[in-house]
Amino acid sequence: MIELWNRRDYFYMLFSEHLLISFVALLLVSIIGIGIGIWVFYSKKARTIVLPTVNFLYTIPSIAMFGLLIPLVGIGLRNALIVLVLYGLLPMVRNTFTGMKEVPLQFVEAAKGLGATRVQLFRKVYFPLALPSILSGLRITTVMIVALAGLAALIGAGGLGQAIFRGLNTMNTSLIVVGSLGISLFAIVGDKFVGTLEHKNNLLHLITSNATRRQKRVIISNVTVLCLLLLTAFLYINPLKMHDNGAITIASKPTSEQFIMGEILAQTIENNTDIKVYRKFGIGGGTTNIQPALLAGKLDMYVEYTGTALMNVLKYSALKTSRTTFQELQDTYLDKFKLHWVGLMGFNNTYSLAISKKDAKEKNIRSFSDLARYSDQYDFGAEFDFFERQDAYKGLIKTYPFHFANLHEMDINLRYQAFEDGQINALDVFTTDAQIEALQLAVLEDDKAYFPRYEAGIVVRQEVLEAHPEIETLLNCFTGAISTDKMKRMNYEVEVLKKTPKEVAADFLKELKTKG
Amino acid sequence: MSSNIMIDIDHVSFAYDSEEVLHDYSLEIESGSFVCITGESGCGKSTLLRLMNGLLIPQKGEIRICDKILHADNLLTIRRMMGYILQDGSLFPHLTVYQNMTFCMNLQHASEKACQQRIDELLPLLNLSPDLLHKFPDELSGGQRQRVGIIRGIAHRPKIVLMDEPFSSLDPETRESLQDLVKDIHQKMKTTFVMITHSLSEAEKLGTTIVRIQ
Repeated sequence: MIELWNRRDYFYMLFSEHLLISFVALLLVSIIGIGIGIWVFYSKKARTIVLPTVNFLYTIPSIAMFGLLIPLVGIGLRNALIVLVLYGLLPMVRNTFTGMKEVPLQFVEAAKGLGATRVQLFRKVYFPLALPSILSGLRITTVMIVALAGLAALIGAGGLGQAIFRGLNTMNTSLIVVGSLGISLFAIVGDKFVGTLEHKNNLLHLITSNATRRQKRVIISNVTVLCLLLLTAFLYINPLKMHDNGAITIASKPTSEQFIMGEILAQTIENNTDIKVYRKFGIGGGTTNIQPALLAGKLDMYVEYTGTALMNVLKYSALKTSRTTFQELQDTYLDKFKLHWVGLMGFNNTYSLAISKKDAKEKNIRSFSDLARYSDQYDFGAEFDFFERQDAYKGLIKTYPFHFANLHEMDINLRYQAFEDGQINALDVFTTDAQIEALQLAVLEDDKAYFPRYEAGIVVRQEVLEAHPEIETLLNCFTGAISTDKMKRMNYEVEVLKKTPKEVAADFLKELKTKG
Repeated sequence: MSSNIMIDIDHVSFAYDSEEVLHDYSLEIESGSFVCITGESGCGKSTLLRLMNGLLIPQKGEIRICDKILHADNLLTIRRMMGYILQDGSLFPHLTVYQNMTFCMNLQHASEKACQQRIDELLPLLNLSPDLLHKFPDELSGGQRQRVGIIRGIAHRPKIVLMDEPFSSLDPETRESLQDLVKDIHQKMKTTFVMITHSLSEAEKLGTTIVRIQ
C-alpha cells in the first residue's frame, strides 16, 4: 500500500492519459460513427460497402491492429486513437443506422404529410427518435474504448494499461491490480455517465427543448464534472511541454532491466545537469518501435543490446553478426542513423537455456550439448518469437541435436510461472533474468557459441550529444560499470524484492559514486 | 374547370408493384365540402388519400390541388396547405402536447407568439385543458390524443384537412363526441375536409358528399 501511495504521481499521470485518450477517441468515434450511420441509412449503395467493412474491422484482433498500423503511422497517441476509433465504429454505426431504420413509419408519414422537408424530417423525427438507440451504442462503445485504451500502452501511448504491462513485465502484482481496477472503475464511471444521458431520455428532452429543470441540472452537472476532469488531466500531463527545447526523452523497452536502465540514465542527467528529462518507459514492441521514433527525433536515448542492433536493426545474418566488432557497429550506426553508441556497460543479456539446479547436478548437465543428450526427458517452454525467429529455436536445433519431449509456446512473462508449476522443465532465459536466482535455475553453457552476444550499450541521437556535450562525459562513466551478475541482482531486487526501478537505480548510482 | 373545385383527381391509376389499386380513377372535391370516402379494406381509399398529399405519386393521370398539378417541385408548398390527421393521432412521442400541436406551425417558422395565440384559440374548441400542454402523448387518453392530433392538423389554418380513419381506434362514446367536434370545426373553419372511414354510418353522419370506392 505504501509503495502504491508513493507512486501516486505515476498513477495520476496514467489516469490523466487514460481519460484524455478515451475521451478524444470517444468524441471522434461519436462524430464519425453517427455520421457514417446516417450516411448508410440514406444511401443504400454506401450501406452494402460500409457495413461489412465496419464489421470486418471489428473482427481484427486489437493487438494485431495496433501492430498493423505501426508501419503507417508509427507508435504513440495517433496510432492508439486510430485503433480505438476503428473499433468503436461498429456499435456506433450499427446503432445509429438501426435506430433510424426502426423509427416507426407512422411518425415518418405524419411528418412528411404535415409538410416537413428532408432536413426537418431528420432533425425533428429521425434523429430524436433514433437517439435512445444511438446512446445505447455510445454506452457500449464507452466501455469498450476505456477497456481497449488499456492496450494503448503497448504502443507507447500511455494510460492505465502501462501499469498492467509494467506489472506483468516486472512481476509486480500490485501494479497489475491498480491498472486493472483503475480501468474497470473508469469503464463503470464512463458507462454511468452516458447512462445519465440515456436515463429518462434526459438528452433527448434536452435537444427537443422539453427537458425539466431537473433533467437540465443532471446533464449540466455531469458535463461540468467531465469538463473539469478533462481540464485537470490536460493540465496535469500538459502535452505541450513535451516540446520543450533542450529536454531529453529517454525510452525503455518493457522489461524490468530496461526500466532500471532508463531510470539510471534519467537520474544521472537530472542529478548532474539542468536538462529536463521525460521518461517514455516500457514501449511495447521494444526496438521495433523505439528505433523509428529515435530516427524521427521523438525519443533521444535508450539502452540497446548489440545482438538486437546487428540482427534486428541492421538485419545482419548470424554469421555476419558474430564477426562484426563493436567499433564497426558504432561506425555503422553513426553513418546510417546519426546515432551514437556510448561504450558498452559491461553486462551481456543473451539467450541461454536453463534447467533446475537439482537436475543439472544429478545428471551432470552443464552445457547445451549435455542437455541435448537428455533432451527427450524435457518439456521445453519459450516465448512465441523464440520459436519463430531464425536466430533462435530454428537455428538452435540445427546446431545442437535437441529432441525435446514437448514444446510449449507461451507469453514471455509466463514461462517462469510454467516452470514453477511444473508444466515445463527446461526453458530459454535471458542471462540477467531475476528468476534465475529466485527459481534456483542452472544456466547452461552455450558450448558451440550459437547465440550472439547481447551486450548492453547506450544509444543516443548524435544531435542530442552535440546540443549537450556534457551528457557524453556523464554517460561514459557507465562503460563497463555493470556486470552481468550485478544486472541480475538489480532485476532480482525489482522483480522479487518488489523495489521500484527508481529506488534500485538510485541505490546503484549512490554505490557508483562512492566507488568512483 | 370551375374554381370551386379544390381537389381534382383526373384519370389516376396507381399500383403497388404489379397489383393495381386504382384504375383510371377520377374524382372532384368541391371547396368547403366534407367528403367521406368509404369502401372495403384494400379498396384503395387510403391510397387515394396518400395520393392527394403526395406521399404517393400516381403512375398515370394527374392530381390538381387548387388548380395546381401536384408534382415533386411544389409538393412541399401544397402539403403545407393541407392538414393531415392520422389514426390514433400518431403524435410524436418525444414532443410535448404543445410541441405536437404547433408542429406544422414550427415547420413553417411561425413565431412563438403566434403559436401560443393559436393554441389558446383552439384548446376550448377541442375541449382540452391547458394543463395537458406540457404532458407527453403517452400520458394522455386515446380521445385526448386524437384531439391533440386534430389541433396539430388544423393549427396552421390549412385549406384542406385530410383524415385517415381518425376515430377507428376509439371507443364508441369518445368516437361520437369527436365526430360532433369535427363536424362543428368543419362548419366553423369552412375548409375542405376529406375523411377516409370504413364506417358508412360515420360517413353519413359527417359527410356532405359520400364516395364509395368499389
